[in-house]
Amino acid sequence: MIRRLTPLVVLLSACTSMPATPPTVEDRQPPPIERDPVAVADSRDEVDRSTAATATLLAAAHDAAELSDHDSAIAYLERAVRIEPRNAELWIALSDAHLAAANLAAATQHARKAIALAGADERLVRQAWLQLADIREAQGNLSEARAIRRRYQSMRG
Amino acid sequence: MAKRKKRRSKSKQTANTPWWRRLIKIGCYTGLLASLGILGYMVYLDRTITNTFEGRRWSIPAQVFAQPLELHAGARLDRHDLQTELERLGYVQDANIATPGSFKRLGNALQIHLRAFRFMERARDAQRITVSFRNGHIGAIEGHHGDVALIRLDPATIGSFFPSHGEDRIILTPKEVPQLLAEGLKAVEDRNFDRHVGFSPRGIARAFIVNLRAGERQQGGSTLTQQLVKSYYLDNRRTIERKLKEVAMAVILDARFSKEDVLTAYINEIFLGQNGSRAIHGFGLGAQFYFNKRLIELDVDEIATLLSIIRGPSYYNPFRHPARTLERRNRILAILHRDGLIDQSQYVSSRSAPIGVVANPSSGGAYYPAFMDQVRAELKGQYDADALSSQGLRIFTTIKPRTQESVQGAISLTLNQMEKERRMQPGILQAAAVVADSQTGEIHALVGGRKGRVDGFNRALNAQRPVGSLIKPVVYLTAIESGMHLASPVTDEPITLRPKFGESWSPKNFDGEYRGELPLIRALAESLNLATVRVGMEVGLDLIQQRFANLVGHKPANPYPSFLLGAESLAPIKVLELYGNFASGGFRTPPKAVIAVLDETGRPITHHPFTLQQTIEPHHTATLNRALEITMAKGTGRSSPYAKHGVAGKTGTSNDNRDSWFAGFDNSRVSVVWVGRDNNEVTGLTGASGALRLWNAMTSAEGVDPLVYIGDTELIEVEFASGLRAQASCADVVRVPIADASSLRVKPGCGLADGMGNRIRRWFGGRD
Repeated sequence: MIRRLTPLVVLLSACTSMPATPPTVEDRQPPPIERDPVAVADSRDEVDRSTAATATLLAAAHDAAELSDHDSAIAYLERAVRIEPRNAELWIALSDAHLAAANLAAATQHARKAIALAGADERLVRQAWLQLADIREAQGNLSEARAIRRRYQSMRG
Repeated sequence: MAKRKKRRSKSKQTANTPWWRRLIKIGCYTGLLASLGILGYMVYLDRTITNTFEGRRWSIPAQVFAQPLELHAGARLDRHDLQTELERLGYVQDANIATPGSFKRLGNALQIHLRAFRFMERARDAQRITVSFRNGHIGAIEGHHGDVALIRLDPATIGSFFPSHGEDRIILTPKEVPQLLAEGLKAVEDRNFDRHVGFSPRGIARAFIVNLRAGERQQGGSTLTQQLVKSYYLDNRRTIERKLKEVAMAVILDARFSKEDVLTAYINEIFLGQNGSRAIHGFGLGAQFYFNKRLIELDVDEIATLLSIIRGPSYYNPFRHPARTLERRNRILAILHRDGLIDQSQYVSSRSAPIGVVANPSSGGAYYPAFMDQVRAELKGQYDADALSSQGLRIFTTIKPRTQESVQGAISLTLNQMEKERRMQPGILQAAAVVADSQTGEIHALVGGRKGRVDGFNRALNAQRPVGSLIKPVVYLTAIESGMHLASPVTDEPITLRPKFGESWSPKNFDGEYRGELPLIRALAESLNLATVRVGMEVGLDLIQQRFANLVGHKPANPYPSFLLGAESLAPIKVLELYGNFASGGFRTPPKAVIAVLDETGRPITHHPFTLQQTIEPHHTATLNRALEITMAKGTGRSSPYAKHGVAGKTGTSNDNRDSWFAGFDNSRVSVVWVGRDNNEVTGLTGASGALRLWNAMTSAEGVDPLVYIGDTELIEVEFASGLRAQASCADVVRVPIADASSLRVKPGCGLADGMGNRIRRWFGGRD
């Protein structure tokens, strides 16, 4: 938990204009039909800034995890997910908090959610799969953990 | 013989005892017995009243909180929205923002004095912040120490779990009671409170004289202690026996407990009004109900109004009899002034204040009984009724009052319109709706009927109705998972199924027509029954039923092919669960209302974290969701003004138009709406003319967050009507994900002669 969250927190709080973590505008696929023009604010800017908001919660979750207060860590991260439900990075952190709390089934499903949300973002895809590898290892499924790591560790994040 | 003699001599002896001695003896025995009886009765009374007092004093119903509004730069919220939210929470405008619970406007910014609140994870102190806005969003938040990245408003209290006899209360400690209220109570109701023994003959005499002079009952002779006893046993019969019992109990209470304890109990207990089936007990709840404020935040005139109400909550009901209540309030202000409890300037300014109760009594301490049913259901098994109504638990929930209010409002309004347009008897239609976060399943709004604040049959949770075509996405999902794609040809022609046992079945299309061969996407979008049954039987009814069970967690009740057309009854909340699988990108996320339960001291007892289970592969979900977006844009959802704004959804209608359904989702919310009649009779409404219209009205308040597709599947242009591959520039074209497009037939005349050019354009990011 701590291992995984630390670089994340540093990264997020140090630089809010980093490549946005949720599926970015570039990842978005065209809709299946021609949509009517709707007044939708360009969410790119907003995504970056709400990431600044959730970064404070990631930091709080990190502090709670350091004290082995997993319930609080989960509560902080769920609050962050309520603000940015499609941010794969938050789901990875949440999966990690469940892993630390030994809720392996929940950890697995949260990691799967992160994989589904990561889409075509290679860094997130890699991060989410490596999270799943950690869970597999905790479950004693070493061969699957190894296989996932072999596949994704070489990928550039 | 000897025996008989003896008996005779004994009776002779008795006969010799003087009558008066016998009388004294009888008197003594009777007196002893009576004293014993009275003593026993007093012990009994003592037990009863002490137990009640102790039990009630700390019997604190669980308090239930809504989701707090999160404030951060970039949040979609303008100044007007935030101001409305603050007013909903009882914040008042104040140029000095001197006390917590106040705010002021400063150009295009709001300065807020936030209240302290003990949140789930930690307590937050009261503090001042300045929120500025930009383009309909929060621009920045500034606090005492500079920029604030994230802060939340205190959550609305949406109810409490009061005992079954319908009493609700907010328990206050002596410290939380304003001095003016405590002193005012004594001044108005019981001048001798600090001196009497629970009962005051002088008080009774004075009341008698005052009432005699006035020629009407102006003053009661009961002490506050007696009133408290009366309130405990909810008995208004005026009998001598009851009165004596009341006096005895008051004396016992006074002997056993301190004056402060008794006064605090009174403040927490006294009946102040009725809101539907919910009785308003205590000044804490009274302040919230009448003024949407905390007791400590009340002004002088407001305290005086509450003091007026005690005497007769229905006679001095400030909503129904404002003039009468105002007059009594001013009399009370005069008493407070005379006794030196308020100074001259306070007296003058509060006398001129209007009665000031909140316009809509129900908005004071928002009250959402339908949502509370869901909370109760989730806590059942973990907490018994006694724990919920007495241990002061703090329950944090997912409801968003803003969404709840707008959904409820949209439903009431639209049903009224529909009945008028269709010349139906007013009030004949009923409806239910549930709105949840599409990724987490957390319920934001739950409406159980057209009257939101009335406890009653909760249709959202309990009305099991046939879902009609809402089931079709399960059929087509299974088909897609079995290898079909959105352009696969399917046949829409009459079909008769002959089971081994029972009658044969020949379903029909909605319009009685049939359309021959067409692409799968059109069969779903136009909700064609014949094509759906054919696809379903081809894919396998068992397999489809199995998929259904995976998606909602239970097997269907109907094992027959009519299941394929939605002859399966589900409650709206269950339909929400089904569609949550699609909206969340392939995860089963059962709708949930409770986030955590904390004890009185703020220590967490139970957490209710997100639960999710992957049920559908992401690329299959994406395919289905595109199909449901096309269903809105070109199919049965096309009458919606939001049909082409990036929402996915499906209408449903049960046999003979008894049930009208709509289930849909955008990028952030999933919603289900049902319209029908309680007696299950025909409404004449289809899914599109009934439930979809309600959804439109619901959506107009919060707008659409267009669907975003994740992943990198290639999209192929096909003609909607025929499923033939076509150029993007051709008419009636939709884009669908198809892994192997080489097998598709090409539409003559609108083919892909320039297919290469088309591909090159796509490589360079051109959309069309």
